[in-house]
Amino acid sequence: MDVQVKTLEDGITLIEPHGDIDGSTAPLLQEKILAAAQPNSRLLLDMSGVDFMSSAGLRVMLLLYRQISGNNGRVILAGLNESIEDAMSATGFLKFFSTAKDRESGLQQLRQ
Amino acid sequence: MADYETNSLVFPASKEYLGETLSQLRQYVTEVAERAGLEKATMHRLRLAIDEIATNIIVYGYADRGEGEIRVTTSIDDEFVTISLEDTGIPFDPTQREMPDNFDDPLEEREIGGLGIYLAINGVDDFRYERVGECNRNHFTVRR
Repeated sequence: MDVQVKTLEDGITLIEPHGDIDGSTAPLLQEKILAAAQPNSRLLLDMSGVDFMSSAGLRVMLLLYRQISGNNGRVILAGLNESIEDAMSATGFLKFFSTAKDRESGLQQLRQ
Repeated sequence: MADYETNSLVFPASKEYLGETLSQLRQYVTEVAERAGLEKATMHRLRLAIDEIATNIIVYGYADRGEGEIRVTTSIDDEFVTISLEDTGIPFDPTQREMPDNFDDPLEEREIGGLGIYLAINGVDDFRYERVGECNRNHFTVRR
């Protein structure tokens, strides 16, 4: 697992995990994501490089949601594959997150 | 490929190699699914189910000992694929664990516990647990 965090010119934070998110890799993702989720931040989590995510990743999503929604921020999940969307839907997570099919449309949503 | 086959493999179960073992198990399940011609969605759910229970075995089941093994047995027949995980860690029956039913609650109020087991049990067509002697056996069955 590799997690890139970039701040774009207009202040949007782009987080790009690459690899599988499981019990062994979720702690690294959590550390990077929660550090990036500052008050008032606009985050785009580009999940197109993630093939697999277990409940350890759902836990990170939950923490991210809490940190962002309590701090007047926004987060968009872009590029979720069918498998991850299925697990997020089965556990009721999907309806709380804004999603976008890819990075570009996610960035457009955040810029509106 | 024969219409009926059974095989068994042993994976190390130690927290130190959690990532490697989980990754090898995902690869294993993917190969089984391809051999059996499972649909992609079925393969994804089976892979997730096995990842969740294997993680529990490695992180909690062998916590007192620090390491152990997971024996993985697969049988494929005309109708079903069954993958079974066998370990000698502390007795743990996932079906006795209380299932989360708070899926409509706001995420601010959600308890996170039990999601992995929920995904494991609900992701396959049949999930069965048995304790045989010193062994936990978790059986995951999906229809082909």
